[in-house]
Amino acid sequence: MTAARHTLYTVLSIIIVTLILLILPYLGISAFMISFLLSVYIWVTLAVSWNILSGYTGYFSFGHTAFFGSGAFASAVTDYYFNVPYFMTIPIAGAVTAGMAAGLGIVTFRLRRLRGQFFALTTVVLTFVSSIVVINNWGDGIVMHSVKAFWPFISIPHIFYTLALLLCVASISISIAVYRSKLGLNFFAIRDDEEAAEAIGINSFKNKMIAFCISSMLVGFAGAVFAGWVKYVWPETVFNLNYSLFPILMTILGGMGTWVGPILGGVILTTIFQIVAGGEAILNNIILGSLLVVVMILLPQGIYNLALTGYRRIRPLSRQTP
Amino acid sequence: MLVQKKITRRRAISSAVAAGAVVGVGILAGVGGYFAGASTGGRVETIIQKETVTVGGQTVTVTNTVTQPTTVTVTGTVGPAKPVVIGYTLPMTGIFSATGILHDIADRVAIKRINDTGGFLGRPVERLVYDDRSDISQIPPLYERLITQDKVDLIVGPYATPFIAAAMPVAEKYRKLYIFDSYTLPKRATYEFAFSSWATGYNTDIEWPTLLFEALQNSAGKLPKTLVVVHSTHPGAAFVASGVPQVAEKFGIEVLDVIKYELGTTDFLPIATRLKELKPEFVFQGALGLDESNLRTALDKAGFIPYGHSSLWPSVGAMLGLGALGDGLISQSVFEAHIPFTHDAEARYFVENYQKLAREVGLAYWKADTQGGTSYAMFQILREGVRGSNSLNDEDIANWLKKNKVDTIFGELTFDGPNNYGPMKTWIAQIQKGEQIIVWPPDYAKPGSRLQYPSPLAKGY
Amino acid sequence: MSWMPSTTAIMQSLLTGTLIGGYYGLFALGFTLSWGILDIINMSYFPFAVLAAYITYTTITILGFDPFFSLIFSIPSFFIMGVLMQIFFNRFKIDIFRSLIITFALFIVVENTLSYIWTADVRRAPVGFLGGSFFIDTIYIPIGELIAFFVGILIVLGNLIILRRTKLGLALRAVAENREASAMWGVNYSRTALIVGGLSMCYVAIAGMFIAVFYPFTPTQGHVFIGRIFAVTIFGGLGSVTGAFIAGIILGVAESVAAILFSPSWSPLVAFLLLMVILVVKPTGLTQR
Repeated sequence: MTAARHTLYTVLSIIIVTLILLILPYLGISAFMISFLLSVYIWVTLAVSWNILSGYTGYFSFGHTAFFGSGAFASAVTDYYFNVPYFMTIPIAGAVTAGMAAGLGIVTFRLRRLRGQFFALTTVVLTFVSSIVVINNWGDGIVMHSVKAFWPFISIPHIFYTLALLLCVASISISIAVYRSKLGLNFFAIRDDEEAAEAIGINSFKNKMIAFCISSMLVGFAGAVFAGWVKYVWPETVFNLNYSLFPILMTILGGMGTWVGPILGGVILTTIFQIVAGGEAILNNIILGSLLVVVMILLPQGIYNLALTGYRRIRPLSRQTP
Repeated sequence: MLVQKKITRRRAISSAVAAGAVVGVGILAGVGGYFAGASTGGRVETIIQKETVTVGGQTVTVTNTVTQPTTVTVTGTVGPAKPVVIGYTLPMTGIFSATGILHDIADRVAIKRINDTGGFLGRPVERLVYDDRSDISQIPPLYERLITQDKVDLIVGPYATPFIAAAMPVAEKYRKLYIFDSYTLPKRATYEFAFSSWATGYNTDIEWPTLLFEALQNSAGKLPKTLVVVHSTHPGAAFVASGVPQVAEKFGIEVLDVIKYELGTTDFLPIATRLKELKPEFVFQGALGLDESNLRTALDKAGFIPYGHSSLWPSVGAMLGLGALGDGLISQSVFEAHIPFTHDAEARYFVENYQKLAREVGLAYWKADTQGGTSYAMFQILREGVRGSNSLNDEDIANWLKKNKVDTIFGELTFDGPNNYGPMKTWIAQIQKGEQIIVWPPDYAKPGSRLQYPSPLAKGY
Repeated sequence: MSWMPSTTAIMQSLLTGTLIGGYYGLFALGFTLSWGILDIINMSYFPFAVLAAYITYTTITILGFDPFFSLIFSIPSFFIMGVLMQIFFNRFKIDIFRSLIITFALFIVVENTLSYIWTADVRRAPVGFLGGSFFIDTIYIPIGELIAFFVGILIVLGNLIILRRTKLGLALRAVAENREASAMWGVNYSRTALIVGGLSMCYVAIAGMFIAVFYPFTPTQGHVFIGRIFAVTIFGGLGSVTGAFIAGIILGVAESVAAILFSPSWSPLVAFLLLMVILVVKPTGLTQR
């Protein structure tokens, strides 16, 4: 089949799935399911966006927390202090985080030697720096103005459910689009061998900037949606290291470097964490940890690649480096 | 240009597998979520046995609770009716678990007491507790789950200010009664059915520092001339600390400096060095958890210990672990296991059972005090509200609470002020000879005790 | 802040910053060896350090001995655990990405096991003279931190000697440089890796002992260190023990001086920005490899 046909099928599938998920609240699923699915969408967005940067280009980022927290606070601050309508704060949050990424990228992507390590460190530093700036200025936390429910939404959580869903779908679409485009090929080339890629004419600086900015913009949006949903925005909770760590785990679990991996990992881990909440918490965590270890041993390339290998019986199709 | 014009069958198949995987996982999530919502959670069922035990020279009837995960056999005081379920979350794992466990123990004692005394309207009471992993993003879905999926009859708040704040909108949405214990921002508790078991007082930033300086003046007989405020970025701590400068001024105390540090700091040597330079007579620390004992150790290393050192909500276990160095540390307290609190029979009951259970579980610090006390009181308030209004309806209970007094282990509480806060009932406690006791005001202080100021450990001036 | 610190205060901050920074470096030693030489980002070191703290706590409170005594128990057992972990990593050919997720899973298991055994409650052991200081005029030198600093220096020196003078050291440098090539020259990677794995855990045990000496702690105490240790490791150059130690000192001094000059709530920011600036000048980290 041709590329055009393939794209058509992809787009159609995405639209259909999105519509189904959009309708779910109208079909009367419980408020808990709406809440749970909302958190799934947010985690998947975080994982997918992390993958676009780190899975595709190979530049490990520990900075998702920085962007998530900054996005959340950008939304909260503009909402509370400047009375910007909530829906407008979302693009503002994305712009802020993309700007942060651009600024950081200009400094770090130019340097030639040992870039990967350096970049990883700067993302760690960014997390500290942004959280401290926020704590010192808005340490008391911000209570956002309530969003009013309006047609066609049946309730306030429904609004956020829809926002989170649309954001998640957008992230996945971007991820697939990049994966199949020349841009994606550039990213993979950078991951495989940056010097060789530059030798054949790929502008690694520009490509990395694009990856970083897209990735962090999506995270900024996610932070804004989260802020609106919980309404009470505190530095300690939105600058939680989990937001950096879990997307990494989810992506590796699901399969790094493919577009499916982070989705699988995100959904599975979020579901497991929710199931684990009841009962004997400490024992559950021990079991969970042990299971994770076992899974990672058995599935070296992540779950998705196991599925592929199982199906195909020759080495995985994806452009993975081990 | 490397653009592929023709999609090979390989790619198409892999895309299909990918799509299938995503759909499959999506179904898994839906099913998983459904089962998660339908799971029994941390349901604690109790078998109640009574026995007579001699404790501390007195013969007391102690009710032993054996917790088992599945069956419930209710004997004696409550009939075989459908249990009333109270749902909430606690940090059983994660960074707040150190205090979460204290609340859990106090709550088990509270439930036992409720069931001993007739349950709620003749029905036995159970808790349904989920672990929020000290992760605030878990709070809204878990509370939604409790209310809409598990359909609990009543809810109470989780632990710690940000978490209580996160669950408040959920409670508000379903118009559920929302009683909580560890909230430090009275001005933000705007939900009309929100009640705090911890009577911080609506204007705690002014009232408590005032009480502290009154204690210094009247109990110790001396006021410091200079003071430094050291506080963390915890919002509740910062709130109380913000009131200190103006109160200090009224008492004629000069505030030399206000030092702010990040929540989570473990290295207090820089602050100690700074304090050593300033040499204030009193250090007012607005902090919680391990900060006080960490600052105290750092001050000792720096060779400067102020005449007076106060804090807000320290981990008493950590302070006592300092040994003699911990003596003299002042903090907030609503309850301590001594007279006059122990004049109340229920307070004695709480202390005995809490300490027994804490020792069984293996806690290092097993004494019953503020943390456990506020959680116990939370259930007391709920209990009195249900029995007083003779109803399990959230609005009925809330309206009853607003108009009535509740007798708790810390005395009578009322909820008639702004945001349902009554008068402040948070006192001045101090560690003396390895024990935390309340020293002011006289009505609640351990008989014969005074606020010790200046501290004999002071040095470095 | 209208108040300016005296020169004494600044000198004091330099001193205490150096000592505390040395402790951060000490903590990072095992982590950097594991990451740089073995290509394993071992998150489980954090709760293992807390385990060592519990062992120390038990030694002090139940056995009534000096905290250093606990090393008699912890060092051999941690060495063995380190070797076992490395056997596991070797056997399943864990690469750096999987190592992150597997060791994080281990992190969860170990931390929750600690919670299970000792409950989540706070523990604080009395430490006697280790909690005191020497005084030179008004400058104080905290004893416990000083000892930790010297232990760190000893380890760094010992490491340098091993690296320069022994065959093992040669093997380590070769492996860190290029694992495949070193194999061709006869270096048995598996065996070398086991030794490094065991050794790293020993460093973790030592760092953990000091946790019990310096702080009141809970099972989740490890979280506090994650950010700084990551920064110190990368900043010092992966695999470089000397680099990590010096990086720790720089971080400690920067934080300390910033706290006294500006405000403690801004000090980590200043410190990390300083790290960034230095890294822009020397992006490979302080010491290559």
